Amino acid sequence: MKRDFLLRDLAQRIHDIEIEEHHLHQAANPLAVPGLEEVLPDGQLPAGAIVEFLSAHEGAGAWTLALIMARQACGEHKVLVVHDGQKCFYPPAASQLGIDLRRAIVIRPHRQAQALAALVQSLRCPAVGATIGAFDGLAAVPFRRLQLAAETGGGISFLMRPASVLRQPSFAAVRLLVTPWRAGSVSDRRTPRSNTPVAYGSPLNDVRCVRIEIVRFRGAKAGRSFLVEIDDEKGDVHLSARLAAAKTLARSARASG
Amino acid sequence: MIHCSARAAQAGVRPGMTLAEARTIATHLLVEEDEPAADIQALRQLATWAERYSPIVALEEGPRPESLFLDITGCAACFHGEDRLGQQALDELRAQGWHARSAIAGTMNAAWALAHYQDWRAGSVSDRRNSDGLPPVANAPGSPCKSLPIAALRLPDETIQILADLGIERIGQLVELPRPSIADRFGALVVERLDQMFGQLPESIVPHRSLPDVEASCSFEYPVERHEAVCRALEKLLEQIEEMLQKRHVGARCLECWLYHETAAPLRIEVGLFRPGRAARYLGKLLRTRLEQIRLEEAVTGLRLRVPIVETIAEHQLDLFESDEAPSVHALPALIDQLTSHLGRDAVTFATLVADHQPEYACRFEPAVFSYPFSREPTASADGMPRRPGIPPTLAVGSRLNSGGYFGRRPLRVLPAPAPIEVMSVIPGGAPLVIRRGAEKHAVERSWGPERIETGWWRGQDIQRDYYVIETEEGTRFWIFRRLDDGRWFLHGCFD
Repeated sequence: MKRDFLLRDLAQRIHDIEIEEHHLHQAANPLAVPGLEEVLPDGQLPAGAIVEFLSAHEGAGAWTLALIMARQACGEHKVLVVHDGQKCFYPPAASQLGIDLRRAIVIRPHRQAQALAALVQSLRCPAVGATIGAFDGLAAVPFRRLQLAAETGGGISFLMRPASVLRQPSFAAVRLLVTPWRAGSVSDRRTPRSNTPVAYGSPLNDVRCVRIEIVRFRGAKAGRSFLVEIDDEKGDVHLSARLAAAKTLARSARASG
Repeated sequence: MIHCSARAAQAGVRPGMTLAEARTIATHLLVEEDEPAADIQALRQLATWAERYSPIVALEEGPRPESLFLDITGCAACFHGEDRLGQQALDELRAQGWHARSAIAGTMNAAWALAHYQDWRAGSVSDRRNSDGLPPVANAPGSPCKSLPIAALRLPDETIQILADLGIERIGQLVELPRPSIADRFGALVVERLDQMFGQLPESIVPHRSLPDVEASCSFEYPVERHEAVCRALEKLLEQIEEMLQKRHVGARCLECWLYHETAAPLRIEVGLFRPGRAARYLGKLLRTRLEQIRLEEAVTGLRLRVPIVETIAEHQLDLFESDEAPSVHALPALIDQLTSHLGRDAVTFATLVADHQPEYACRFEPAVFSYPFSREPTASADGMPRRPGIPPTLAVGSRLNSGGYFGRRPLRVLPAPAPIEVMSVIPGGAPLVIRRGAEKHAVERSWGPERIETGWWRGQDIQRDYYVIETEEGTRFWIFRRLDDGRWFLHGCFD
C-alpha cells in the first residue's frame, strides 16, 4: 500500500514537471543539427530546456555541436554566455563557426564554485539565448535550480559533461551521448591511412564524423543514434551522406536517464 | 593665407593663396603670423567667458577648433528665452571686437551646421519650432537643416564630391533617400552624421573645464564593524550621489568606494557599470555584492564614494506594447553588472580578435564593463546591444573568419599553456604516427599540415612552430606542434 502511494506520488510529480514544460513548447528554438530535428517534436527544442552533451573524452565534438545549436538558439537578438572555467575556450575558432563575438560573453571565474552561481544568474536573464559550460559534478539541487533558472529566462543551457555521469539523475530535457566516429570504421573510408600528412586546404579534409545517441528526450523516443558530419570550415552540421543508412540502434526506450 | 578679412576678400585675396600672390593683389596687406596654439588659448578664454550663459561650455573637437558649444538646457529662462540669450551673446562678442555667428539647435551637429551654413546676416538663428525643447526630427518638414548644403554634415571631401556628382547638394535631398541605401552607397559615416544632426544618436558636450568630482563622504562617530551599519551609511551616500548625477543629467560608469580605518590603509572597492546608471538602489546592490566578498581587517571609521567616470544616460521611450526584444534592452547591462560585481571584472569578458599569427595572442579577453569606450560615441543601439565605434585591433570583432582569412584551422579548445607530448614518426621531423601524453597513447590515423608559424621575435620570443591537425584512431582531432628550435612536440588544442 505504501509502495502504491509512493509510485502514485512519483507519477504525479513527473506529470507536474511535464505540464510545466508543455507551455514552454510555444517558444521553441529550431536546431541546426539534422537528425536531431527529426526526433524532437516539431523539430524544435523547447525554450528553457537543458541539453546535456555527454562524451567519454575530450575531442568528441560536443563543444562544436553545442556552439552550432547555441548560435541557432540565440538568433539575431539574444546573447550567448560561455562559461569557461578551464580557460580553454578559443574565440577565433568560435568565430569560424559563425558565433558573433559581440554577442558572446565569456565568463572565466577564478573559482569553480562561482561558476554555477554565474550560470544560474545568466540563465535567468531574458537577454540570454543560450549558455554553454562544462560541469562535471552537478548535484540534484543545483541541477534543479539550473532547470528553474532556464525556464524563467527562456534560454537554452548546454552542459558538457563526462559520460561517467550517464547513470546519474538528470534534470536535462535532452541527453545526448556524443562519440567521435573514426574514418577507418566506415566501409567507404575517405582516405587510407598514410604516413604523409595531407596539405591544408584539401576539400576532403574538413569534415569529421560524430555519432550522436539520444540517451533521453522527454516526450520523444530515446535510444536512436545517427551520424553527422561537422564542417569546421563552414560551421555546418549535416547528416553523413555516406552513412545516411546508419541503422537506428534497437535500444530500448528508456523512460528517463 | 589661412584667413582674410572682408576688405581683403573684396580686393581679391582668398584663403589658400601664397603670401606673394596675395601681396601682388593687395599691396598694402597687413599680415599676421599664424599661431594655432595662441588661437586655441584665445578660444579657451572665450569659453571661460561664455560660462556666464551656460555652466557647460565645450570647444569644438579637432586640431584647430573654431567653435564653442554651449549646453543651454534650462538656462534660457534667465535670459527671457533662447533667442534673446543667443542675441545677447552675439552682441557682447561684437562689442569685444569679435566676428561671431551663433545658432541654437537640439543637437550639436545641427547647431554647428546652422552656425556655419545658414544665412546668418539676421544674427542668431534657431531651428526650434516648438517650445517643448525637443530636437528636430529628420522628417520634420520645416527643419532648416534640410536646406543646408551637404558640407554642413562635415563629411570627407570625396564623399561630398560623390554626392554632388549624383546631384545631391542639400541635406534634405539626402534625407529623402532610403536609409539602408545611404550607408551602402556612401558609407556608414553619412548615416551617422545624419543621425547626430537629427538627434537619433545621443551625444554629449564635454566641458572645456571639468566639473568637480561627484563624490560624497561621511565619518562615523565610533568605528563601525557591523556590515549592516556600513551598508546603511552607503545607502545615504548613494542617495546624495544619485542627486548629484541627476542634476548633471549623467550616470556613473564606474563607482569607487573607499573605506577608512584607524590604523590600516584605506580599502578601495570599485564597481564598473556596463551602461551608465545612477539609481541609488541599483548602485547599492552592486556595491553590496562586492562588499560581501571582502573581509574587513579593521573597523570602519569613514566612507567615501566617488564617481570617476560619468557618461550621459540615453533616455529611452517606453513602448505601450513592448516587443519580444524589449526585456533584453535593460536585462543585459544588468546581468553584466551583476556578474562583474560577483565574479570580478576580469572574469566577465568579451573576446576580441587580434591580428596576430601566434595563437596565444590571436584573441584578447576584455572586461565586459569597460569594453566600450566612454567617449561621446553612443554606447547602445536601439536593441540594447552596445555599439563598438572604434575597434582597436585590425580585425573586426565578430567577423566570421574562414580558412582563407587570417587564421588557419583552429580548435575550439586551446590549452592555456602547450603541454609536452611524445611523438613517434617514421623519419625524424616527419609526420606523427603515434602520440603519447602521460599514460595516454593514441595512434594517428590521419594528419594535416604542417602550418608553419614563425613570429613573435619583437616580443623577445622567436616562435618557430610546425602545426599539425591529427586524427587519432578513435576519431578525435588534436592540434599539435613541433618546436623547430629543439624538435620537441606539444599538444596545443583539441577540436572538441
